[in-house]
Amino acid sequence: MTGLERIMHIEDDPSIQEVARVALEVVGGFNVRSCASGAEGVAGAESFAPQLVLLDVMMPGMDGPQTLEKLRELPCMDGVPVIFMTAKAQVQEVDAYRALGAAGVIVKPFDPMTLPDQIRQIWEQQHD
Amino acid sequence: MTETNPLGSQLAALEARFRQRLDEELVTLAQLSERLNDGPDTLRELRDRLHKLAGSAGTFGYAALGDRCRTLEEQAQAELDSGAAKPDVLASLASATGQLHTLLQRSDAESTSPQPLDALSNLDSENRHIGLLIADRALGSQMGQTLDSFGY
Repeated sequence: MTGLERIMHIEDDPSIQEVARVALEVVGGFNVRSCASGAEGVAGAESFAPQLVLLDVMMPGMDGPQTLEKLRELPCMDGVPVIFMTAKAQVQEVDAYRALGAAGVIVKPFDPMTLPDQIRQIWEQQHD
Repeated sequence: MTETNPLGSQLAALEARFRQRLDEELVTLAQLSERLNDGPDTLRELRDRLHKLAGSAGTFGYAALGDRCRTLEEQAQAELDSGAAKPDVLASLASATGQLHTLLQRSDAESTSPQPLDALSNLDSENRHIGLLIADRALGSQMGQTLDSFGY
């Protein structure tokens, strides 16, 4: 199994984007590409070649599920797990995100210190 | 010799930046809440902004504020789902949104230093929660507002 190194984080809220980046880079030791919109994420996916995508659900313009659909059209994204991040995570919503092909769902608010571990767990589940 | 903690100083800087943005966001929310009678687009924007803040406030240690935003977001959603927003409910939503800044000031008064990112707010009155499991969203929303007005 290849180790997880490159994570693309797509999130329009600058505060969440910044704190997740610090958590993933400094605490988790990952290489992170932050994108402020779904369109930016789709445009940058080929050059960055993420091994995992962390995707906000509610964003203006292209929302999380729409972004996921676009990412799935890219050959470079074949088999790349996508984790949704959302402040709304009732059971039926989590099920709906999984049905769309999400590898997992991380709920906001989140603890920046444990975020890398949460992501690693989902990554390992995908590669068992 | 003084040890430096790069992670701690980075998080502290992020907290300070979040706090600045939070003050601005609460002003925007209060302004939006005064225009709720304009139509569903304004209510939708308020719901979306409350949703964002529900996620970010809790992440930065403002748990009570995040919880309140989440409650208000659900009330806004219930009104959007009803198809015909009721003026009294909109007024109540506007009033509660306008009070978010007061909630933040109270939180500040009880905390002399920035709260750690993983710390919960110690606002006793804001931590009295009652969970409502009611299939009827309108009834649930109304009961929520009533309990809210009694400090729950």
